[in-house]
Amino acid sequence: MEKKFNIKKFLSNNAIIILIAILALVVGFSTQNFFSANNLKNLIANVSPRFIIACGVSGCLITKGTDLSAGRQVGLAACLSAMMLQSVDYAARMLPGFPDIPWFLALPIVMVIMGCFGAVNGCVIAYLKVPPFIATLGMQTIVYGLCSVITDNQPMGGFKSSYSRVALGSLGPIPYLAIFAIIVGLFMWFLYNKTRHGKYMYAIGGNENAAQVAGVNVTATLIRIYILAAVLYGLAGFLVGAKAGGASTATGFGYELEAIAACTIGGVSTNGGVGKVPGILVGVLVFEILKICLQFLRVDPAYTFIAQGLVIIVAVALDLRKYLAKK
Amino acid sequence: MKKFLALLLTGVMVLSLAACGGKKEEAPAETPAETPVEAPAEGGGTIGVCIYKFDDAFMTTYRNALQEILEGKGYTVTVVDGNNDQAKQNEQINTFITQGVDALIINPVMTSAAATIIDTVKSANIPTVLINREPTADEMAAYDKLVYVGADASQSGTMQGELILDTANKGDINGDGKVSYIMIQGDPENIDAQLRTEYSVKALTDAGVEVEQLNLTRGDWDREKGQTICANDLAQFGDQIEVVFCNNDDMAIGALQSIQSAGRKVNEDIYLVGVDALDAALNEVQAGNMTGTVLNDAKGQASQAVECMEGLLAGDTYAAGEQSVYVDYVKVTPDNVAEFMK
Amino acid sequence: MENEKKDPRRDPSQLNAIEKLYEKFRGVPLKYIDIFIGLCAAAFFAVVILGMLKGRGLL
Repeated sequence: MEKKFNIKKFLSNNAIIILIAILALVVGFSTQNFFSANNLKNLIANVSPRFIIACGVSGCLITKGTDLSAGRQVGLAACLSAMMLQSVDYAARMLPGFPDIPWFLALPIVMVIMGCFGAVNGCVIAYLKVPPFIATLGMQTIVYGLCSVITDNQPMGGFKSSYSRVALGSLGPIPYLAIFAIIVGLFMWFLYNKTRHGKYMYAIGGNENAAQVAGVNVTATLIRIYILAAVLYGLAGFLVGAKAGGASTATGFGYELEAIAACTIGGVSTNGGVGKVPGILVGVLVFEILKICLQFLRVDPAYTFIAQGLVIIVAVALDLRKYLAKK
Repeated sequence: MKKFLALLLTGVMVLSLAACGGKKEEAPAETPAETPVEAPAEGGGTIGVCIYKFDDAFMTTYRNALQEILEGKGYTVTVVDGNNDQAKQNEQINTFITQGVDALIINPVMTSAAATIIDTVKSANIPTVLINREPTADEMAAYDKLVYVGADASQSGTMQGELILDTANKGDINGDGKVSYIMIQGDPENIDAQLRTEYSVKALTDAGVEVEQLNLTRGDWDREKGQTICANDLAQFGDQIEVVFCNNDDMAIGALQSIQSAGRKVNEDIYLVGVDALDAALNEVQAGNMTGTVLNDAKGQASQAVECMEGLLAGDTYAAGEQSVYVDYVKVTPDNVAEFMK
Repeated sequence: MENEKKDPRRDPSQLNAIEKLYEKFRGVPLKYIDIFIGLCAAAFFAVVILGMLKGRGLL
């Protein structure tokens, strides 16, 4: 009886990971070059910006909210970075008069600008008590509109090589992208586990009213969460732009869906109040490994969408199951 | 438990890395590890094809033609969908390189990001053919095993203009001495959209015809948008509109819907032209519902792309400034439309 | 301190949008959800295999 329960629980918690692990093993042994340094490097590069985005969304999810504006914010951040970091002698430079600034100056500027959007999200949700789903949905459209206006829908490229190198270069065997992700990961882990903000966040997620009664400043915490999320989107957008070598209003479209799904797979559930940083990493890994597997297997593109969709459905179904089983 | 599993998964990959003797890169940090590229097998070989977006009507014809031709020649082809996301396409390119494909055929999502694509394929030393969306000659000059196969977009625009000039009244239906038109544009980034927009009108002005642009709206190559935009313009300008220029057939067919529901009749009180010669458009041209279209020769371009690719595989290189190979467009009118229909 | 009685149905004002959706499944036995998940997992592998076949032109 005990054994049965453990297996069921184990499967229920980790079904998707097992699914993908099996897939990866099958692919690895039936195709060439899957288990290779190059592939691992690509995987890490792909995971890094997505992980950062997922970390951002996780705070919103843990407090039983959501952030549907993540993708578009990433896009706006990528465009802003692009505008500031185009090569000076690029013919189609977006801001011809703009000074030539180094990327480590542009990055904080972008992060601060995006933080403002996060603040708006947070205020609307915390003060005006608008449901996060609706608030961030509205923000999604606004950010997209702003991006269209600012960039006039012109895609941008021609980046400075120092900017491109951020995404394409490595420190020894470790891609720079991974270094950003590691720093964010460590920071988030520390924030969630060792600070008061983290405790407040989990408390709000567990039971908002109780947390309020217990003296947690719910409003301030929520606003901080959404600001942090937006700042992380800013960083991610900056990296995605460099990775793609270009940015446009289409950049980042739909990224929030995968980020939320990755969090859900990784244990950040709508039950609220739970979610760990390593779990988020696992969730993102699952998706990226899945994508690589599908390409190695030469799966027809239409079917890849269905496969990814099924993974998301299973993730939601498992989450639902956990929710119902808990009560 | 989850942490353990994650560790396990990574552990398996790392172990196999050691077991399979994965190459540790000694090369300078910036370039990805060079996977050994085997000489292409005789009559066979693996080709990776990256399409910018699978639900683009023209690219669907194109990639089907590509796949048919390549498989007919005995190549193993894998086609992937960039889903209009350049970051995603770059990841797909990297994975292809890791898989060790012999050649790449890439349809860039953003031409403005072409430099990164070219950089990546250059460091992996993989022969590459870029199709349908053309980067600048400067960008292509960086790599000699690179060639662009496409069509000279300005030609398609000129032909559209010529289609109007070929009509009985040269587009001036209401006889007021000028041709009043609306322009439904693709997406402004695409050089095709820009050039078609410009040259279709230029063909008219070059022939001495006076033109008046009533409206120019962006339709993103999308049929539904074409329909909405045309409906709005018809509502706003009504009979003033004499010619509807669409940068592609998908939008033109959408526009046709709104023209018909507004009670107008193409070739009697309004002219409609598109580009691509999609099957649906050919039908309409034959039925007299479209003034004409321009064949974007997908099959011809696909053949040319494969030809160039085989050349690259055999060791050809392209000098800077000579890296664009153009295939001609073909004007399609009610007279010759039957040739193009299946 | 909240009341001691364990209320299986949470106070509606505390639930967010997704939880309201989840509550709709309250009546469904866990077994059916398990079966659904199992089916989806099977479908996943079916789709991958079908996709592989289609991708190689064998379908």
